[in-house]
Amino acid sequence: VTDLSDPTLRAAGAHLDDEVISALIDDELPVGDRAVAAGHRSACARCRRRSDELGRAAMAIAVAPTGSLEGERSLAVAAALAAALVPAPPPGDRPACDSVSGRPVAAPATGRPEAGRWASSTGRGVPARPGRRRLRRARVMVGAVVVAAAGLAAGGLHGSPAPAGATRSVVLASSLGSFSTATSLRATLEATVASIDATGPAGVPGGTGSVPCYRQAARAAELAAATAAVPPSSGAGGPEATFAAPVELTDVPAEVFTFPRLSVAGPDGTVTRLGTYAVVVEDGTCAVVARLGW
Amino acid sequence: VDQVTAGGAATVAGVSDEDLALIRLVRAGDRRALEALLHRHYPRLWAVCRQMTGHDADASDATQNAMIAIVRGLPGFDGRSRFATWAYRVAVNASLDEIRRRTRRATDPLDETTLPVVAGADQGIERVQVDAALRRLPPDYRAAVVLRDLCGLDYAEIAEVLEIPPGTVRSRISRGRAALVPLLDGEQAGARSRPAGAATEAGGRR
Repeated sequence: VTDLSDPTLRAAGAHLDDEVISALIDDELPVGDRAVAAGHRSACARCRRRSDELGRAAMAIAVAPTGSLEGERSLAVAAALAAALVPAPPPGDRPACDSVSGRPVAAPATGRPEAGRWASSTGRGVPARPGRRRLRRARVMVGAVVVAAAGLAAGGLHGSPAPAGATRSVVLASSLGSFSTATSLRATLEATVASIDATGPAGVPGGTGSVPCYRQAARAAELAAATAAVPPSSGAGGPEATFAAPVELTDVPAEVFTFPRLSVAGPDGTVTRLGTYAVVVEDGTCAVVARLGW
Repeated sequence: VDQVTAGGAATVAGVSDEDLALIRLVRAGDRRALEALLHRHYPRLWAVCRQMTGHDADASDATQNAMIAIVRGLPGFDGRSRFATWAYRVAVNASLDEIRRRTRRATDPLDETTLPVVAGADQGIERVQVDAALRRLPPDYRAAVVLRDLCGLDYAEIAEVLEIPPGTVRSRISRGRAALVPLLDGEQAGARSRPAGAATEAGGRR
């Protein structure tokens, strides 16, 4: 490190090192050193040039990245709020299950809970392998079956276990339309899931509310049977939601669905019951299953 | 400059008045206050995670985990540091966890098509360059540089967040910026086509 106590710094033709210049840029040098360093920099073209380079690097990092934050923020806040109400599940809780097949979804091999991740799988209960493989003409099923506790106050569901003896009712199901690109699917999914997370519990008891949804009476029995195959969540809360309503999707990278969202899958086989997850499968079977938890 | 609380929030005992008020309400059981607190800090925490991970989805993952950790850790927050500083620590740790997970998953290198779209072609290229350059920086350097240049923390605060001596902060910031200079100025073309190096992603530095 440059010895700034050396009064011959300039005369000797020495230069400031990066650490001093960087600290000078940040105004983090002691007053005396700052004066010496600043004086040298103003007189030395080489150090001035280096200061400009390091300053430009700092400026580049200072520019905040942009993103579509609103949907993300809603999801993250919803997950955090749910976490405030739902304690972390104890070890040995039941494994996360595919809402359609009822089979366990393979837990991510991370050794710690991943509360905010889409659980992604291909096939029925077969773990996905994020990677380059692309799904072609996958059928995307998006909708919801909410198994609710009849008569429970609307606001009381989120984060609370359903009472013993709760009855089940099919409430939500919606189609998101058709997509030809992963980007458009993802954008729509995010907005829809955020909307469901924001208003889902309020829409549960009576099947009303502001969630963009409709009753899918024709498939109610089928979907209820599918969710009935899912073991109860930890505590008294039951399986909450299954999305269903096929649309066509072409050329979607499997990895699209590995991005994080609210999830129930824990790597240690426990269920976090924080919100929503998706499952992607190929060719005619369910492509996206999302679960709304409370 | 506290960029999170910028806008006139004065500080008392290291915590902005507004944060302090919200935290007080949260402790009294006010869930809306908790939501407001989380909403208030989300953008900056996401930005930290985004710069740290270099990837939108990973950043969302890390941010969400950070938010959950913040909620769960809030009862233990003692107010000796600013809430934002404490939250940054959580976000950085969540990002480092995410980076480690990403390394284990051996995910394909970031596809350029998944990079965020920003206004203007020139800005878009710059974002790509910044992302690529940051990904090639060891995470320890990255954290120090991001906390300084994006979050505006001073060296003492960064030392507190990263739990390292101030001298190490100064060294990491300097080395991080020095490493970024060639990446941003001339080698970005190569950086864009190269995967994030496992050595840099996993490496620890003084």
